[in-house]
Amino acid sequence: MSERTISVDYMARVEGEGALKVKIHDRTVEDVQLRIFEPPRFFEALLKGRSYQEAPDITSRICGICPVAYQMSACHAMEKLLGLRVNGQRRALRRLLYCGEWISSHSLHIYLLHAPDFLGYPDAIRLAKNHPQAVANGLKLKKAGNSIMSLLGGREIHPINVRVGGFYRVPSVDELAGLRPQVEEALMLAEQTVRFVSGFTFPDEEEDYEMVALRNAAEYPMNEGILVSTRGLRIPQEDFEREFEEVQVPYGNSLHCVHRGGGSYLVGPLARYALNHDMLSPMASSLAREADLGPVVMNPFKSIIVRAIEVVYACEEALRIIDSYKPPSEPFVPPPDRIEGGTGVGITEAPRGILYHKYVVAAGGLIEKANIIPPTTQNQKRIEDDLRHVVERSLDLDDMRLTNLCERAIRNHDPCISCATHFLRMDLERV
Amino acid sequence: MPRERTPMLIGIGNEDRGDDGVGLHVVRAFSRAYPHLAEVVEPLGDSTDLLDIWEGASLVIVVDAVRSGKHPGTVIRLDAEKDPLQKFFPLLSSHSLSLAQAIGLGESMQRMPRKLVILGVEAGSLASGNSLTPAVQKAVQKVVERIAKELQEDEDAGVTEETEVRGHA
Repeated sequence: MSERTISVDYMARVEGEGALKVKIHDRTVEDVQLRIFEPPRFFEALLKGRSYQEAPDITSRICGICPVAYQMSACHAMEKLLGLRVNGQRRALRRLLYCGEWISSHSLHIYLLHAPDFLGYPDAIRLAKNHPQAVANGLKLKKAGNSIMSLLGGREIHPINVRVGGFYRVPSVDELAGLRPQVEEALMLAEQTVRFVSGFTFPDEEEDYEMVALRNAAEYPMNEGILVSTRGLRIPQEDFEREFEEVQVPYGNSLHCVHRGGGSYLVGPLARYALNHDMLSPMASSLAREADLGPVVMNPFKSIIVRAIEVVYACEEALRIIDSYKPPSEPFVPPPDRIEGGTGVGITEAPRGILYHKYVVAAGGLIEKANIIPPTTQNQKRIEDDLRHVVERSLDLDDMRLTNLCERAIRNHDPCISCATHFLRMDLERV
Repeated sequence: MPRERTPMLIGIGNEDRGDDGVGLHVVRAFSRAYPHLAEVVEPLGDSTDLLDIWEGASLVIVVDAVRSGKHPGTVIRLDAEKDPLQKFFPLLSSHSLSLAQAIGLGESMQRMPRKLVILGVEAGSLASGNSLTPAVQKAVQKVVERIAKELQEDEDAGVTEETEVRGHA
């Protein structure tokens, strides 16, 4: 008869503040909790009564690593509500901005947060001592992504140039062309990254995920598409809440989002790759083949390779957009003179997966209600399921090694805990 | 040791979070009091940008808020080479590396300036707002003078070294 508790009070190398607790009774895993204790920030309440124009700016503050994702989901939700179409070069610039964020966020995760796990280092600082060139490459990649975001967004952190309908100001051809050398170099480094991470040793684990992502007819998805899954789901974005629901957990500050009647599901690079690999650019496809990835990757440890492939894709896509850029005649599509109320849903592919925004806006343009479901909220239950399986398979490991394996299982999914804790539903009981 | 390159003064912080902005207040006050003595930088990105910002720099002084349990307004001096930084600069931002970790990366990758000094000012309040609490406001001038002293001492040390080298030529 024995009780074992594996706990990590403060997770390292994840965004935000999270803790892990696993309870084992004899050889049964009794309980698994990924606890989020970062204080919630009540963004959905903050948005009430604000103008619809403010949604991109306010929600971008939810996350310092993926502000563009919030701006894009907010803009698309409001534009659907207002009946605005953002096409042509404005659409292309949005995609380019998102490429910048994917490059920056994924590179940070690959080199500073995830790679140490595979090379046996406790942190990036010690990794950098023995692999300074690799870490230098990672920082250069991150910087290239940030340069794109600075130019198009006006600022690296919480860009200020994005608005409903497009941008406040669009770059000149020369300004955009100025990015080219850095993005070319980034593409080369991204290619090296795929080869670097493909050479790691991967635990032989596979999970039977239901993967959910956007899909559209034109391209590897960022801003647009319907919702699809590896179990045959195929729905318009507006039907999201009919399929998925948020559930409060008693042991943390965040919500779990689950598939109604189905349980946990996975969003993010593995999901996008499984559902859209036919849309990858030539070099990205070829590198995926070279890395022996196959059409679907179900080993969560190999997510590092898929992220690297997505960095290659984002660099190629960025170059394509830069090379075909012609400044639009107007930086943004103006809103209608009279705002009629309504509901708008916007789902876009943040680096970590689909980010859901829904707004109810009153006639005149003030927000009445907002619902925001970040990718990490959607992955939380799935991460706990991964943990349960990892522990069940590795009970014979000593506590230290088992703890390390559990932490790795969480880091595989690049959770952004700050995003996951932006909202707390409070039930007030008056006695 | 070459000291030709102008010293660099870096102010770190968020000026919309009360005393967290003290680094910015200090470097701006220094610029007004002693224009042209140092290259002043207020980085907007995350801490890993520092490695690029101080590339090739000789003396770098970084000013930032700290939380170490002392009285608000207390000033501490840390030498990046000799003092343990983690105690004073834990992971304050959940989205990027802390100052200490960025310095750790810089050391691992041998991308450090000749000399890096950190002047930390103990914060009183990090509540929203762009003014400093009184004790921290009082510390600003003290830190400005401290910086001037650091620059002078470093320059004097350089002159001494040069004289010694010449003496043995």
